[in-house]
Amino acid sequence: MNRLRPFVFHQPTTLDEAVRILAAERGAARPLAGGTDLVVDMKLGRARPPVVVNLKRIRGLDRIEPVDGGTRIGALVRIAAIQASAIVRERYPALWRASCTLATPPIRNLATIGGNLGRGSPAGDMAPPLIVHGALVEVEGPGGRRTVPIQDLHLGPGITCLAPGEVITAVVLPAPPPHGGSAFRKLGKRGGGWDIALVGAAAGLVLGGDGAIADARIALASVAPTPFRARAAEAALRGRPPSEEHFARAAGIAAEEARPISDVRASAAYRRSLARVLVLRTLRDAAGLALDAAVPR
Amino acid sequence: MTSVGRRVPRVDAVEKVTGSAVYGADLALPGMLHGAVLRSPHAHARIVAVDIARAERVPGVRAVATGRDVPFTFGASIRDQPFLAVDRVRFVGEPVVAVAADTELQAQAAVELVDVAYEGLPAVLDARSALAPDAPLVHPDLHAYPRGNHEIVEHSNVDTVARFRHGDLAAGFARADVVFEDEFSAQALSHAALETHVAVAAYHPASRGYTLWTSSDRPFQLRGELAAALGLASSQVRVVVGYVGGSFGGKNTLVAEAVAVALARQAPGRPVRVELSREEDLTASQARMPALVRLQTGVLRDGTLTARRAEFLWDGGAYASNAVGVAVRGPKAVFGPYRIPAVEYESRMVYTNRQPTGSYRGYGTTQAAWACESQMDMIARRLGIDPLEIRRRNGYEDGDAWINGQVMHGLNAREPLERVAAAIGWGTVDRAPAPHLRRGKGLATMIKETATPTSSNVVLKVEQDGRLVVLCAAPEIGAGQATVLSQMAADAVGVPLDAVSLPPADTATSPYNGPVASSRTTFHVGNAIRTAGAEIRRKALALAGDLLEVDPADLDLSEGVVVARGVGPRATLGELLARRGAEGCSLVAEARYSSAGSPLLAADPGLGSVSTIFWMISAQAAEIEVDTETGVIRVVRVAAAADVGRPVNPVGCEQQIEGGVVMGLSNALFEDLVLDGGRIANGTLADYKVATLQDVPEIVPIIVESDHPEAPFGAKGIGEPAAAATAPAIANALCDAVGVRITDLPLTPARVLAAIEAERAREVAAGGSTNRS
Ligand SMILES: Cc1cc2nc3c(=O)[nH]c(=O)nc-3n(C[C@H](O)[C@H](O)[C@H](O)COP(=O)(O)OP(=O)(O)OC[C@H]3O[C@@H](n4cnc5c(N)ncnc54)[C@H](O)[C@@H]3O)c2cc1C
Repeated sequence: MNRLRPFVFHQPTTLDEAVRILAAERGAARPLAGGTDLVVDMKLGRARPPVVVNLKRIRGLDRIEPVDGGTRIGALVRIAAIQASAIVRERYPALWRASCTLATPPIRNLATIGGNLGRGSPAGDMAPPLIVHGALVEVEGPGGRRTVPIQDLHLGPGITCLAPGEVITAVVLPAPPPHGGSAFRKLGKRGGGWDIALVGAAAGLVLGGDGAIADARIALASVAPTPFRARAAEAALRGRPPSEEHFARAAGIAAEEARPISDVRASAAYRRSLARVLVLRTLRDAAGLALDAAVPR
Repeated sequence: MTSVGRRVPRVDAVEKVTGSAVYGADLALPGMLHGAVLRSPHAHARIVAVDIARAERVPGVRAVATGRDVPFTFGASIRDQPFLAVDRVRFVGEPVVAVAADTELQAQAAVELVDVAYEGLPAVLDARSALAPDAPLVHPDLHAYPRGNHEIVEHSNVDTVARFRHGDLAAGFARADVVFEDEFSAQALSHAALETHVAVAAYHPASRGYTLWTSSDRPFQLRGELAAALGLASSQVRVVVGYVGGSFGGKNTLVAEAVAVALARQAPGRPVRVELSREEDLTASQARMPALVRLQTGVLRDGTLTARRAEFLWDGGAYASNAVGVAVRGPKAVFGPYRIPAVEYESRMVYTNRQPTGSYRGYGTTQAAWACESQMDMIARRLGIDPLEIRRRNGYEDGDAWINGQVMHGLNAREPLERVAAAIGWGTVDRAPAPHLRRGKGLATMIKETATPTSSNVVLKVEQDGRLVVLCAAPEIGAGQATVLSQMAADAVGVPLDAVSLPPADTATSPYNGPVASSRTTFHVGNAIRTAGAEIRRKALALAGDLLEVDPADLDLSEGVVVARGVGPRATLGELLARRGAEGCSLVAEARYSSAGSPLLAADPGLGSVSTIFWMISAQAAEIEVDTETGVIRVVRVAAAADVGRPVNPVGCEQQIEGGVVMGLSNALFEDLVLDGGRIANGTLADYKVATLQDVPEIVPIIVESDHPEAPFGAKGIGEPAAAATAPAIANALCDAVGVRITDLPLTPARVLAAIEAERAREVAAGGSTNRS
């Protein structure tokens, strides 16, 4: 068996205290949320933090609450709670879809949204939908509070822009645009969801009064060193009608601009094919919801 | 009421569901130490120096063992494997130095302080390159190793050669209208049992003996292997096996055991426990043997098979382990349940620098049936014959001669195929729900013999309270052994099912048994139980006659109650034994069953050693849905049938069939131990994917019955044949759905998509040329 190596375990009950301990230990301490990633890494010896700071005793970080027309999701909110949230399901379909296929129910009961982002993995399921929803990440650190646009959080595989001592406290999603729709799909190694993404794709479309696409957002997991925003594909959609022809063209562009690598999970070529197919399918899904939203009842 | 044939809940269900069942991993003994292992980072290297000084100084460390401390080798067929590497490592993950400490954490910390200097050697990483004339030798001393009497090629990497031939091949191929020649490959797999390899070993200095508590499917064979390795008499080694958390053919040699024994020698009197982590289990225990199979098959235009020649090249890994038998016997299944007048196989197994391999549910049939059943469909397609029809045309019937001329008896050869075809709606096409999806159906069938001859002994004992104890070395490996053996014992004696218990297998007290393998337990142990049960019954009735002053011939024993004919219940078995009072009494009977010498084994001259005491035939039909844009296969439905003789516990049979389908599906679609420069690249369950409940399709389990003259309560076996037909059934359904044939496992989405795209390109090219002409 692999046993955990000894480490110092802190269980602060306030954010200030947590930040203070983390900052004092400089890079040596790691925050712990659900532990579904960190504890696995520690058992396998991939991570050996001498100090671990449990965030779960800190109150108030596990709420989904309305703010200024938008929604604030605390860093300690579990994926299962996102899946169960009516607000998320109705207003943020891409994020909700992603929460339904992240790992398995037992993992979802532990795993948090903050941990998913804090991990900095390009394969994480939360970042692409959050990019599509235009989320901001709230960060608290020794220098106080700051806000980071979600697409600026990730710097490389396993690397975020968080300084030592900084923790994610929440993500804030603006109000969803009217006449908009969003979607998420992914494919794991076993052919479905419930698995780390070989490729994950989120798309959001907003339709204008003329029925054309006023805004489009496309973000992908596992096709680049960080969650990848397919800006060229997005640009190709703006001002166009939401038609199969334009979706197919945009999907092709997204697959071209993606920068996948080959690894033990999949080849770069296969990832590129998947990127095209999944972007096309999420665009169709998103358009379906946007059209529903645009049709007066 | 009798117990055999009823749908009874497993006898171990309550214990297991409540967590009180004691598995190998649960064992804790007073004074027990914990072991950890330093493993080789190299596929092939010379060990130049080992420095254990720093490790020895770690607090809590009680013993450090290196290869030089344990100058022995083990191996069931070839004694080629050291307990810990001595001067050379032969695979990434091979145990090099082991540490025993008060806690596992201390042992692991100490292991990290061991320094080993290596000098890299060129490695052999696949079977084909192992055959190259200038290939490095994994075992330069192969010729000198003690081994059984199988054929090897000295001074090469070929550690097993086996051949079989029956009938006139030349005539068979000459008569054929078409000769098909195809090549198939099957990948390395992990058994991925829920319980990883685990053992506790203790050395007893006074007797120079060992006790080994372990999770194994074969206490007696393991004892033999260990005693032979250490140069001890077999009774100096005691092996105790409680519940086993899954074997699937993987818990049959010294894995955790070798390390535990090595450490126990260095820490006399202290039991040492070694448990493999999941990652060690995946990468450094025993895998299913990868195989390359080349099949040459002669066929008449109407689909009648005239001859088949098969060549197997097995990638045996760094040590022969128990893979030799797979290479020798496994290829028999490549001829399928088909009448083929002339058959031949040549099977070679080679050493390579990867983790050792061995048996895997079906003993080579998962690889052989993959080739056989894929090719059957390729033949059917080329000749324009329905895949069901070509199998019908060639299928065995009761009374046919098998590949060695042995007359086939006690099997229901036809029904499995017919039943699964009907259950899946063979011949009807289901519409796919979307344009990018395609549906398809596929069939496969297979045959499996059982290891013959083997024997089983049991001792039955009636306790003072009338309870029946079955002493036999047949561990419950999760497949339901304890339940069926209890059911048969209950009926053989005439006691209720809940009066029967099976204590853990213990070579010190249980009589000899063959392994819990080859789907042999129900049949062999059941036969011994039937005989011993009859004797217990006689003794019980004689005792009752004595005490009740009735002629035993007028008494009957049923559900633990002695009944006088025409009178009614007289006393329970427990009451009778109690009447012996202070004097005391127990009833004991022992019996042995061996398949040796059965008249059923008669075969053509010289081929008797190939005979089998029974055959199992199974068939599966799969319906799948293929996403033509991603290559993802979704299995919609699988109908699976197996000829079990008579089911002792129908629920248990269905569970075996269902479990077999899940396992077969998992290794058809997902599982693959990928080797990258000698290292397994996906050595965690995050990347070595095993099917989960989410991947499980609708399964229709079908029990098919037959009459076997020697079967106890009519029962044959079920464990192995349940798994082998799934992969070819899915591949055949894939071909039905999208017209592509994939001959390499697993059928990953990337592979499927590439094949679909290649086929599209071919069609476009062909279309283009048709247009031009
Ligand atoms: C079997 C299995 C399947 C999985 N499948 C998926 C999947 O399908 N999709 C997917 O995206 N992931 C998957 N994961 C990975 C992981 O479970 C998720 O990413 C999860 O969301 C991590 O959250 P956590 O709360 O458990 O994080 P933890 O393990 O507690 O932490 C993860 C990392 O983030 C840091 N961290 C935690 N909280 C914060 C914070 N508030 N601020 C800053 N840093 C923080 C930690 O220090 C650590 O480095 C899987 C994991 C397992 C074991």
